[in-house]
Amino acid sequence: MVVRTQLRRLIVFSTLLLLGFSVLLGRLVYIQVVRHDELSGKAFKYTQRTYLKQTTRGDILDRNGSILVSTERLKILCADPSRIGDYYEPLAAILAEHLDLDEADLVKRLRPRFYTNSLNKVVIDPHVRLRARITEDEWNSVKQLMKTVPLADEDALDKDGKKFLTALRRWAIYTEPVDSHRRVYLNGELAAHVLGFVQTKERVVGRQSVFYARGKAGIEGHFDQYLQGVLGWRTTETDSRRREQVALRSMDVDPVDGLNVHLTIDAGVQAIVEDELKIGVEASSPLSATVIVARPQTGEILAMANYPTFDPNHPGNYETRNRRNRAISDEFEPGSTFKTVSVSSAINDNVVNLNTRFDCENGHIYFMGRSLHDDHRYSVLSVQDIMKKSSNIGAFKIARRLGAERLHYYLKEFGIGDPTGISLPAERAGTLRTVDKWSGLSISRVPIGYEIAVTPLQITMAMCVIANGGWLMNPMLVQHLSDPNGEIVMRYHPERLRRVITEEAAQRMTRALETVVEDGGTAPRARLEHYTVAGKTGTARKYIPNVGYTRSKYYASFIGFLPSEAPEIVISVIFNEPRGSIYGGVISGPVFQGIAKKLTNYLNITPSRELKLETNRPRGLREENYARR
Amino acid sequence: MWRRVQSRNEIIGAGWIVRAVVVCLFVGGSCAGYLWQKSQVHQLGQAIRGLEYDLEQLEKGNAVLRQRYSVLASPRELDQRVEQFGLDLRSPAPEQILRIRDSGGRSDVSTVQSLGYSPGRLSRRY
Repeated sequence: MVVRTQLRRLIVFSTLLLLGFSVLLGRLVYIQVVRHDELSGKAFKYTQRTYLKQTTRGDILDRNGSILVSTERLKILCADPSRIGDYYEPLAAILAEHLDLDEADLVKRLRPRFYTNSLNKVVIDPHVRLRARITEDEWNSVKQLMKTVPLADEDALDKDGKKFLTALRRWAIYTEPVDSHRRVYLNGELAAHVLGFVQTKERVVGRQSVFYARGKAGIEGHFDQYLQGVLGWRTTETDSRRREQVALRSMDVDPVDGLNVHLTIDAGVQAIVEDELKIGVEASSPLSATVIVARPQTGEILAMANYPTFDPNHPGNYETRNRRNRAISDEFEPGSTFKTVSVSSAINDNVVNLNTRFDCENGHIYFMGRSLHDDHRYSVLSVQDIMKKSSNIGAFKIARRLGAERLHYYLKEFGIGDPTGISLPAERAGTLRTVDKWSGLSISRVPIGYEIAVTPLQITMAMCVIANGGWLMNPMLVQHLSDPNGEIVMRYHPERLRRVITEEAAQRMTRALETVVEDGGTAPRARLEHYTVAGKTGTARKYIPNVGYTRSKYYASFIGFLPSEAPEIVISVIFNEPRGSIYGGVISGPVFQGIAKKLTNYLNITPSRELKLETNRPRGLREENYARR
Repeated sequence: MWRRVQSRNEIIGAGWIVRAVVVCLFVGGSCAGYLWQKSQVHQLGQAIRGLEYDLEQLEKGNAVLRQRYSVLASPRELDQRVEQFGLDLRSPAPEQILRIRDSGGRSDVSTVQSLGYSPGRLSRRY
């Protein structure tokens, strides 16, 4: 009986329990299945966070692996005014002093500002940016400061007041989860025009702002897509204290850092070039100047320097003219340095040889009703002497014998009128008109470097043709690209574009150019004691629009290579509107000599002439001290 | 009363009690284990976060040190140091350099040689 009663009770109780659980189960299904998307979305909104992971822009290194440009990661300092309350004035005073910020501005930022949020509630804006870039050390010092910041007499505060103050110290000042960064040009102005500069921009990805650098010039601009890298992100959940729950990370994509660019530039060579250029500029106060050092055998650019220059760390502080890479974007009429091109073309066509003699008309000739003259009066000169003395009349007569068509053909072959293809943006092509657009006078002007325009790099590469035995090389500025682990992902090789002249013609021209630095030549000041030098001076009048060729403004240049019997480096020195002397041999020659002297030592180039080794001098004793003995 | 207790004892024997205790222990142990595991996951998560932070700091520090090294090794900085410490160092004159002729080429001239050029004179540096 008892058992039956108990059984009945059990059945009723179980039924009720089952019904109860069924109701719960139904509710569970309703919540978890029917309203799953809606409710989980709401829940995730409070706990799920997606953080962007900042990528690091690749470094730029010189040929020896020294970092020239790198990236410094910085934090973005923010404040939550809702946690600061009425303490914004004393806190602003303390922070302003600590971070060297404007106190009035900081008070304005820290004062609570109200806005209506998505739930239609009026709340205090919890995010105010105080400073976009602070270093890790500065942030640590701010954290220490906030731990003990004296904002009020704590003993006088009630429990809630103390709690508020504790929260303020802990949460009121924070940094954004995504770092900012700053591009650092470690050597300041060194190779500024090659490296270029970046512009930092802010963009919103998702609901977060990200700072990124966009290359605006130089290598930074040309290789921007390789240097940039790709952002990563992490989707995760946080607890009520905003601490990340690592186990609940649902997505974690690492950023891909940018590739490193390894240049052919040698920081040591670049420093020498810039130092010597500075000396030259101080001596002649030109409007602008350019020096390029290249290896003729490979086309590698070892240094490229311009005056005026700028500090890429602060490009905005300089005028546009300072930031322009004149080596590739300034066209000029090269003057007599161009005779190297026109005369070697004639030699290559066997129209003349070094001993062919021309009457230089005692320094003055009329052609097509216009006069052409030399600086000095020469009567009959050989081709070699025409180069040595830089006779315009002689060069004209050689070119006339070659013919306009052939001359134009060779100029194109030398790369005149076409961009060289160097890995830099904004390169100019120069100006070379087609023969049908030449005037009758052009055959007397083009061979001596007028009526055409070249960039300093073009004329340097043209001189490389003579130095390397007749090949036009593609100028190389980048050796390779590597990933952050150092693995090479792209390698650049020296590239011969075409043979322009025969090796024999190049050697003959080299012999002629060697005489330029001899006594009686136009550039004895470019001569070196222990090395043979071949080169050519240029002193070209500037063309002023609406005025014509002026006698007061010149380009003074010297382009040469050494050792002439086995050329290792080509150095071009070009001054725009130098003061004082106007001659390339006087203005640019000594700069060439200064650079060459130091480079032969730095690059350890074997002297051309046999030297008697000084073995008696005690090791480490200075030359003058030794001489005094 | 005695009869009801007696009948209950008849229904719920000692074996059932043991089983119930075992089940309770199992359920309790499972809950405790679950909580312990969750706690461990949380602690490990915090440890991972801490280590990730440390790694990030080390990478940043490494980058800063590399930058400093490059600055210290830069030609300008070296020149400044030489001047600062009055070392009076300067480049040797060509006649002070003993050059040993060798027949071999240089280490990285393969590209140049492949182009048909003879090895140049920059053999010691490039």
